[in-house]
Amino acid sequence: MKKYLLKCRLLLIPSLFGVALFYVLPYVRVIYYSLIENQFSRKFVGVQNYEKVFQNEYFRLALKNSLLLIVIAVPVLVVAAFLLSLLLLKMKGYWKLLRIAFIFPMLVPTASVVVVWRTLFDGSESVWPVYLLFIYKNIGLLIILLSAAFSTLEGDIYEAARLDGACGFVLHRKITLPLISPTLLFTVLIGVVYSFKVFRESYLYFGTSYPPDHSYTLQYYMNNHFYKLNYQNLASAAVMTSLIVAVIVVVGVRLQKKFTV
Amino acid sequence: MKGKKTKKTKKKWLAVWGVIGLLFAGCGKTQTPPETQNPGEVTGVPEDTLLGYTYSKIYAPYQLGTCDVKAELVEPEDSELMVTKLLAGDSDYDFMMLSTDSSLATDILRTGAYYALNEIPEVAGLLDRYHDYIKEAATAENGDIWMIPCGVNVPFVLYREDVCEEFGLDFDNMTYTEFLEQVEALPKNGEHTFFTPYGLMTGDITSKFEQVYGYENMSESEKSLLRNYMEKMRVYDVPFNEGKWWFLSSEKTVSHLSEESMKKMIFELERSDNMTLSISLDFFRIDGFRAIELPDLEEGVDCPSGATVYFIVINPKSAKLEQTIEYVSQLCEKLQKDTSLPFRWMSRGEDFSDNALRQDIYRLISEAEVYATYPYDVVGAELMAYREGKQDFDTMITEIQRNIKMYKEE
Repeated sequence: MKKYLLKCRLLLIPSLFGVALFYVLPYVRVIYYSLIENQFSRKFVGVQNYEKVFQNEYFRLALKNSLLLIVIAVPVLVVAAFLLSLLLLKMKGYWKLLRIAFIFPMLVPTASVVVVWRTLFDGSESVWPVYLLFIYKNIGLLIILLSAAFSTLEGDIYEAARLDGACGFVLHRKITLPLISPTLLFTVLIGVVYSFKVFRESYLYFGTSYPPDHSYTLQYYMNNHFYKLNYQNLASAAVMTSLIVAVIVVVGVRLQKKFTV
Repeated sequence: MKGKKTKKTKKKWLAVWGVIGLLFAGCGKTQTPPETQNPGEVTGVPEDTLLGYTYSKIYAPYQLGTCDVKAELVEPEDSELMVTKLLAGDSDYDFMMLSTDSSLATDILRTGAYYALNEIPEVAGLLDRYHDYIKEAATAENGDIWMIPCGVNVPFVLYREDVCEEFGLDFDNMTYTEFLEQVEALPKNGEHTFFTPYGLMTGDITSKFEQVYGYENMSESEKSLLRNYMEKMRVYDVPFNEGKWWFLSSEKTVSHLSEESMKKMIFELERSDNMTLSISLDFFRIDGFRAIELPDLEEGVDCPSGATVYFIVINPKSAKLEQTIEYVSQLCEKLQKDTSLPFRWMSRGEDFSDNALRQDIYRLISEAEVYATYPYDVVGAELMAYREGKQDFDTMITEIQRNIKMYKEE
């Protein structure tokens, strides 16, 4: 057993090394940058940068918009993916082919999609095209995940439930939902994490670093500070964003454990 | 029995790893893997040569490579590489060559991302040679000398004195409105040429507007003035090669103008650095050309020409900092003695009385001023959207003001 454990640990080393090199160390460096005056003087200033960023009107606006994206677009994304997965499940024979079709939005370059989007929405300056673009780009992955979860459900359970008189909506509410709740929560978490990364879509759609107020998200805030060489604001905002995502993920994982049958 | 099997397995694995190892070793000997590099990353600069990055090599003074310390100026394919390198505090480049109208320059000054040059006596000596406003631009608010000016660029109207007289054109004390009206009234018979490049015309008028008024708190009269110019630009400044103002004889391109046709040219909008580039026509060779500042926006609102200064800024994190400082000292010493036209134009007390055109340009450069500009995304993109009819005037102003607020306060 000891040898087995040792082997496992040894096998983990390469991946841990990669994670440490490409994620942990850069993140530690970002934290370091958020605590100094600037990358040239390197004077330690404590949480001053965080205070400055948090008091900033535009950081708050960006945070609000990013959270709104989670509250509005993520539920729509998950529900749509859930319903489409159910639909695909019923379309026996062809569903595999259709499932592949839902992967296409992920393969098509965002720049090409944006051209179509701008034509479709006639260059509308509202927030909805970006929300829809976010849903369009990510729905394929969620459908794959949910379809995989559906495929693990055993027919016997449904048969037994049907014998007990359950059907239609009740069947899914009482059987399907509880059984796939871990995957469902996972898809919500993926949606949340991806929503924080929405930038390319919006940037290409509006074509500027200063989009309408409603679409100015945290990624814009960080990107603009990158171009202004203000690494301290950028690093502080990045750390705060990662903390928010971490809190959401921890809550999600706890809920997932709670609902796991 | 079990032990034997394990030993055999171990030997097997050893053999497999040995073969893999040999394969790798063989690969190393027979085939050199291609060098991996970031997009735009520079390789191949010798160890003893300093590396400088620039957006455009075209304005670099030729003296860069003539010091004892060797230096190479490189224009990365991906210009964002320069921002990334600066941000990351990279030590593998030694200096940058930028211009004061780039937002990167403003950001370097604001964030203190430069090596202060106050301790280098040759730098102070060189700055003393230059016009006061150039010296001011090279000095930060805290007194740091943050850059070494290597060139200056000023826009102006280049015109033929005799031809303008013939058409009754007097650029002196002319507003842009009058200028455009007079140009519109010029005969379009193809005999005479006048040259209004799209970029220069629009860019210079809007730059001038930015220089004089700004956009942040525009009054109604300023708004109407801008609307007037923008409308005129929209009507008159048509795309390259389709211009109704292009009357370039039979050759079609400016570079093929003959001496004879140059004498028939009425005017063109020019920049001082173009006049010294080898690709430019030698206007100094032909008598009768004069230069005057761009027309004023409003009568009575006098505005000096807006100058762009090209400069070198040292990477404070350079791995070859000492060598770079030595290089800068040598460069400044050389530039102090430089008698080429671009440096004479930047210097105080020069005399160009032997050539009227040179004297005009020198006067314009001497009286110019450096002013800060906003990044393209903040102002330029909105002006362009209006010109292209994608948004109305009031929306453009609202958007510019919103962008400026966001740019300054975010």
